[in-house]
Amino acid sequence: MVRLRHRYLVTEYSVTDGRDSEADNAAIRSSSVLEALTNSIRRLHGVHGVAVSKAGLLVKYINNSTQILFIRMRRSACSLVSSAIPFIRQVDGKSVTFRTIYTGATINHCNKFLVKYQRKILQEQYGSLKTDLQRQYFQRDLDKLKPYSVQLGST
Amino acid sequence: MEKCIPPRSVFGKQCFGDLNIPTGPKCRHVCEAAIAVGYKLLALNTPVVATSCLPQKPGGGKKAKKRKLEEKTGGILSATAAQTGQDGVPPPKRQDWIADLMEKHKDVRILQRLTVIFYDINHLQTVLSQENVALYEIIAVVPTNHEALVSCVISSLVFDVISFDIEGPHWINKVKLNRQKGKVAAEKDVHFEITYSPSFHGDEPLENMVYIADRLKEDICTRKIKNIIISSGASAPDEIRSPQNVLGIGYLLGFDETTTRICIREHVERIVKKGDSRKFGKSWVAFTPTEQKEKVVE
Repeated sequence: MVRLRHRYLVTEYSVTDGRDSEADNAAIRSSSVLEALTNSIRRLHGVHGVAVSKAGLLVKYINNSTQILFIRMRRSACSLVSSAIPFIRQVDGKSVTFRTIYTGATINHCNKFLVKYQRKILQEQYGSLKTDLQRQYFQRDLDKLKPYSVQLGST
Repeated sequence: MEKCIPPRSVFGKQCFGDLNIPTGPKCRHVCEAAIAVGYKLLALNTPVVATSCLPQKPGGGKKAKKRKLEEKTGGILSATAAQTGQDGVPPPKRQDWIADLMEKHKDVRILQRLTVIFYDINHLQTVLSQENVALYEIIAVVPTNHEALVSCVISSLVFDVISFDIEGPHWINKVKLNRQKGKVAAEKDVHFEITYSPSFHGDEPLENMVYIADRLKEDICTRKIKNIIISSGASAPDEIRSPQNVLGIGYLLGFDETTTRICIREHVERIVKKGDSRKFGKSWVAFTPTEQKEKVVE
């Protein structure tokens, strides 16, 4: 008996309102994302598209501080859902754009990719710092991320 | 005379490109957003209407009065002429931020593109023979009716891209070409363009975009798609989509993943190389003999 196969889309979102995007303004709810996604599928693929993609469609993880979310769907509906994501423009009344950065078969794969991706972003920011003092403060802030402490710089 | 800068990274790694970023107030932000999501080849688009770039006959008369009236009221057809203050194709806008962006991102190239909107092939011929056209790296045409589309495919005029205005007043209504004409276009290395960002603005542009893609795939292009490109046409930074999201849009247009990837990578590079060869290829090489010592053979 084969198991049910899913796909997980690792998506980064950005709130593009005119105001400064503070933490509260950039926060969106998983239920609103799911509703916007379903509306987009209905607009593009009709009733059939919604029916096919509904089973197993879930926003599995959402992080408003890093603005990353995981969307889970059945493997057969992966193309359908990923074609609807670029057409989402509004969530919770806010103007939002989504950018798919990875498609994984399991959450483990997505986690491994996300660790490498965010480490790369941190290394780029570390490399853009100009003085040793700035680098020390940066490393000190990273060490505060318990239980995960990230070591950057030449190893 | 403008300094010719040779193209860089011609033999480098293949990269994604977006050849339709309209010049506007947010052009710089759109370019920065495109670079952030992974595009390396960008083209700033200057659209012109062919009838407004035709050389005006000297003297007064009804046409001159009509033109002055249009310039006063700011009519659509004379918008380009009013901006430049002269007839003919305007030269590309050189802005400081372009050089700054290319300096900051060494592997990014920002080109200039001219788009000519026309309904009569004779107007297009007159416009393309003007001097300022040679200053642009990429030349695109937008036919506004079926006869213009057929005549520009068959003609011997030199341009790179045939595009369609899916949102605005220049929509073609019907795209009807057969496989033979599509083959002629492929042999001339002329590409058809599909833009996706106007489809975010309503149902009608979305329907037009899918219609164009379906016609190109079923009627015009061969089974192996050789000459279709997908570009954004984004006038705001939030309308740019990353290459991975464009793969999803390609599914909507009826293309598989491999074809969509080729449409935003290989075909774009081919257009850029064709434009470069048109701009820089006209050169001559001189061979001068070096001094040779006579060898005495004993």
